[in-house]
Amino acid sequence: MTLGKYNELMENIVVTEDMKNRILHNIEIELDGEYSGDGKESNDNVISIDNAIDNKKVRKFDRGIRGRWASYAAAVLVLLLSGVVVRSVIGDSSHSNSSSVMGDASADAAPAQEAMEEAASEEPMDNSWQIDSAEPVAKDSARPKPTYEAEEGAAMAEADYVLSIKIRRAGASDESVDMYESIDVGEVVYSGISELVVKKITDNEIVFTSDGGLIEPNENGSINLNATPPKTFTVKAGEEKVLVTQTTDGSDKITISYNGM
Amino acid sequence: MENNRDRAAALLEKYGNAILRAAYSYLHNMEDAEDILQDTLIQYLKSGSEYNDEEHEKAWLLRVAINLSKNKIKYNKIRGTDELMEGLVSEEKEELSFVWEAVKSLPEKYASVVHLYYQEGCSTADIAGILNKKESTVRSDLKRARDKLKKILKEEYDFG
Repeated sequence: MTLGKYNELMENIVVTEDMKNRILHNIEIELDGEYSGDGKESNDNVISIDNAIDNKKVRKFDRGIRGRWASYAAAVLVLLLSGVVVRSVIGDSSHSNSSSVMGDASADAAPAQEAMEEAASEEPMDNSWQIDSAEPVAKDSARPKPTYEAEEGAAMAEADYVLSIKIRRAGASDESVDMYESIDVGEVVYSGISELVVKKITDNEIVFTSDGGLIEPNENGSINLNATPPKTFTVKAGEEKVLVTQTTDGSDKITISYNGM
Repeated sequence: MENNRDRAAALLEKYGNAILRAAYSYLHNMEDAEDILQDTLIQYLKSGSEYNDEEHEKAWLLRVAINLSKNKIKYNKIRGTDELMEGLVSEEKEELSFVWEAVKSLPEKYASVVHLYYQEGCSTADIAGILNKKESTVRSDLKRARDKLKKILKEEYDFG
């Protein structure tokens, strides 16, 4: 059987000693905040590609730190700028000797203060595929892609798909997203306490069948546990429909978006 | 008590290849797969959960690696070099490169089922647990994956 060759293929994918050392090094920095590796694990003889990867990995955590400092720097900048604004207004008011202008200036300072607090509380991103927007445009080619490229990629993904299914499982804080570039009748797009299967696809709509247990939530987000769940759901092109499982212990939430064929 | 480095080293020894291969089956790129392996271990160490047995522990790790891989595809659609393919071509392993190309062309959900079934030797019930699907769905995905692969290999490469 041809698929028996799949294992032969995968035998080529192995954790190398260099990879292991890089990962342990990074995990130690990430979780313990320090590197206590012994001398034998430093890769003095690594080839250039490993150096490149190694540098990238270290940068991954540096970016988190840089992101935090960038936030602080942004906060200080906002504070300084608001100080300049206040001073200039006070300066002007000293000429006009108008207390009402000063009052306006202090009112303006409040949003600046809020902006500063917002900037200071900004959490640095720590996922390698998320991009640090506070960072200036990359100067060296090895640096991770800047924000606009990531956004462009996301926009591409948005434009390419025919059907998007977002699923947040009961109790989970994150959701999975399946983007279908094409879809066939009979495909199962959701499987949990029941299944959601594509029944019919046209340019204008997509129809799913369900074997029960799925329902649209009420406007206030509550779930009618006594309603009879529909057997079919239709989503019009360009429309988004939310379905939830009819359960009491938290529900799976399925968000369906259809772009048309 | 073991520190994080020792625990990570033990996990790498035990499950490193399995996690790396699962990630590679999605991402087709070694650098991305390595990121996923690292992030999966970090999540495991941060979670501090305890598992009934090794199977349970491995299933958890594979599930996290697969979810992280899916997220990575979403945020980073453009993939880099496929080192496996390059290796196969340079070693003139034509037959294997045909199979790899065919598996790569499968929709994501089929590729993951094929990987877990053939590479990890998981049962359809185990796969259902890892991918959070019904077992019947896994069985039908597996059948469709096999059919698609046969068709691709026959049509594209006259190989089946």
